[in-house]
Amino acid sequence: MPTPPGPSIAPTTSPGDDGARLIEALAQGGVALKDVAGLTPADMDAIAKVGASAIQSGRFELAVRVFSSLAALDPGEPLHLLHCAFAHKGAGQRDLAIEQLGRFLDADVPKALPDVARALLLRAELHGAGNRAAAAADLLAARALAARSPEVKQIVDGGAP
Amino acid sequence: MSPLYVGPKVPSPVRGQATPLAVTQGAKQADEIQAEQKLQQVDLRDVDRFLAERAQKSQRSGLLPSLLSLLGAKPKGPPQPDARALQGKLADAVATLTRVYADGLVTEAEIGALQHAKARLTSVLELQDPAVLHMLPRDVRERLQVSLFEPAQVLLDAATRRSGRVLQQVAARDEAALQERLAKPEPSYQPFAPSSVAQGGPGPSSLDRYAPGDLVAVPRSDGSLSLGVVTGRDPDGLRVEVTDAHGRLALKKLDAGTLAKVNPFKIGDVLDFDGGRAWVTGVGNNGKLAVTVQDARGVRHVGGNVPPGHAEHGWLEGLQQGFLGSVQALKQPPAPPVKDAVVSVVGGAETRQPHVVVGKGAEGALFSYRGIGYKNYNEDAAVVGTARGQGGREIVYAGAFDQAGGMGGVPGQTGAASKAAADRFQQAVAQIASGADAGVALQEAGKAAHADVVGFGVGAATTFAAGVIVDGQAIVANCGDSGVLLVDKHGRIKAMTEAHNLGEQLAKQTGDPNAGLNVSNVVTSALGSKSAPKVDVYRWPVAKGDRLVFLSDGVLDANLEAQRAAFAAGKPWKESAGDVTAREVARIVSSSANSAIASQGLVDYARSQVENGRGKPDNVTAVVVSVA
Repeated sequence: MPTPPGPSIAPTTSPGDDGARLIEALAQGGVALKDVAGLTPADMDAIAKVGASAIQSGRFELAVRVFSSLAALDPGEPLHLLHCAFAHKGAGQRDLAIEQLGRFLDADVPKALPDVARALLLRAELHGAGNRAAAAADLLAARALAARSPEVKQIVDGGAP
Repeated sequence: MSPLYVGPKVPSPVRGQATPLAVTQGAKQADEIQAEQKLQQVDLRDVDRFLAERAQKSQRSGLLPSLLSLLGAKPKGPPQPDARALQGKLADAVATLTRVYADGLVTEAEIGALQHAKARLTSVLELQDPAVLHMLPRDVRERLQVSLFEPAQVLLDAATRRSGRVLQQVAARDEAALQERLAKPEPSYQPFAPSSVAQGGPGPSSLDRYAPGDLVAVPRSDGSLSLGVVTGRDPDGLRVEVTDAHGRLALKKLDAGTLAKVNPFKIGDVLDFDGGRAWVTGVGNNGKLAVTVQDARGVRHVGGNVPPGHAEHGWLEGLQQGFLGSVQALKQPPAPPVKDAVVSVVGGAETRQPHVVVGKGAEGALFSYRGIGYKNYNEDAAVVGTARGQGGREIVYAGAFDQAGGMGGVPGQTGAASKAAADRFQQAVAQIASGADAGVALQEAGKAAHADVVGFGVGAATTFAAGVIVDGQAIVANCGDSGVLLVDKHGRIKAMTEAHNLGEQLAKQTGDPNAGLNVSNVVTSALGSKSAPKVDVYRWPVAKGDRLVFLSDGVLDANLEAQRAAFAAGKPWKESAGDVTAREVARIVSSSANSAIASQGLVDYARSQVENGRGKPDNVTAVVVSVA
């Protein structure tokens, strides 16, 4: 029977409350596999280092796999998406890179403004002359960010990577 | 996400009759053209130069700084493998996969959950590539094998087996559903909310709710019931078509009284009640209305096919009584003031109807729940209460706190970050009651909550939108992309907090309401973020009839997806989604008889917008304080 209106407030469950809901939590991104598996920051760094090395040596498709895996392991760290986009770009996968940058910018997580600026500039570059309106929108957003900190301004002005 | 225009900050005076939304048709067209021209003038002229510079730089450029730092990174402390902790969870998860669908009810959402989980596990297992393993230190490699790959493979296998069986069930269900549809069409589900009835809308069984094509339970001459289809509506009843005992089409007239008796709700209604959700699905073998219920006991069918005397018999009538009770509660005049009462919803709790606190000078209500199409738990927190200050003066206080959904969580403590913010806010209220300056106390509460959240060490973050009304003044603090609006009794927005959201800020800076859509989820300040949070404090005079509204972005983003879709279709809006939402919020709260109806109405609005694809799915919190 439905409960009549009253002061009761029903608690809800969460992934942390009940391991049996792990699959649902995994699907929703509410739990990080890295935590479930007990991986340490050093483990995560070691894996990410493989991805960075792969990019450095031009093995971009390997880097894409590594950073995609890291994003799946740790959905709370948006940098994996940015790195993945960078790898996609290196692999010549422009549309996938743009898609990943969109995910990075849309991620419901506070992000460092310099990274946001880099993502916007990278996406503007990827849109390129083929979609100048979209490139202009990203460039506009990046320039708006530049006013917020000298570091971001340096990035947007081209003086810093 | 966030609202719209920048409100006044300390010590600037209150924004007056703010009318950012009043634009004539001609002006709208001019604005649209101007906005497009502005974008072109500002950016297109520079795009080619920018691209040329980037092309040059790409030839000699290296890696992103964050990638470079990885290459030089040293291990961060000793490894702490905890494979044992996983084993219990793993066993539970595999068990879940074999029992979640045991009731035979399969929904697209459940199938989607399995597919998403499989995709994530498959992606993780890509790390088993020898090219990757070869480059990892041996101890990390061995730890991954034991702690990650083996369990992930077990999970993936279980999920794959389960999804195979689920898909078989779906195929069988769809075939059966097709046969069923041939005989009786499926209803089109719509939420039915107490707030609409409380404000004069048609009741659960009113004739006004029916239109040709709707399904309805119809009594037969032998006393049984069957499914019918409405073909017309008269002032005193419905005209319906049913099949008779010989399977032939028959026409019947269903008077209002009979309609109400056999249709406690309309087929297709979706009803939220305290503890669950119910869908009125059609009629059972005996013609009685059938309901699918999801609550703490799981998902089950009740009503139509339940024999008399069964424990579930009469469930629908009980649901109607509960629904009408909610309507009645919303309609009731404010209760007598209660001294120092408080309602707080924190730590994963949620409400299914407004919860009210009544003071002498104001009454308030909160509503905070998981929302729809989002997570199956609530990470928002909300508070409304009254306190007694020096000299017996009344302090009415309220707040909404939205924990970032994509951030880390404290194990076993749902909504720990938003709870920390709510707790610190309530401590600040106690200080204000003892004579502390409200603005200072609120700002300090924000800083203290920030330290609490950082201290969790899991990368969590939360917004802080809270304030007090004391001595005819509202003192409000805001950090993040939740927001506070002050609306007068005529529905005008008197003041509003500035959202710490790059998308909204960009729209304001450029004057182009569409300029920030691609960064609409970039929060520029939040408690728990890596940089020190910015806690803005506002002081607004309040008058009788004013409503102070505290909202999470589950309400404030009620038009974001619509604006994004319009922009993608080449039809940019002339005002921001946040402006549109603020106008709707002001309309809803000013037309509501009390805070309870207002908070219920705001939640109903947010839900309806998500269901129509116009709003962004999220946890939803609305707290309304009405100044008497």
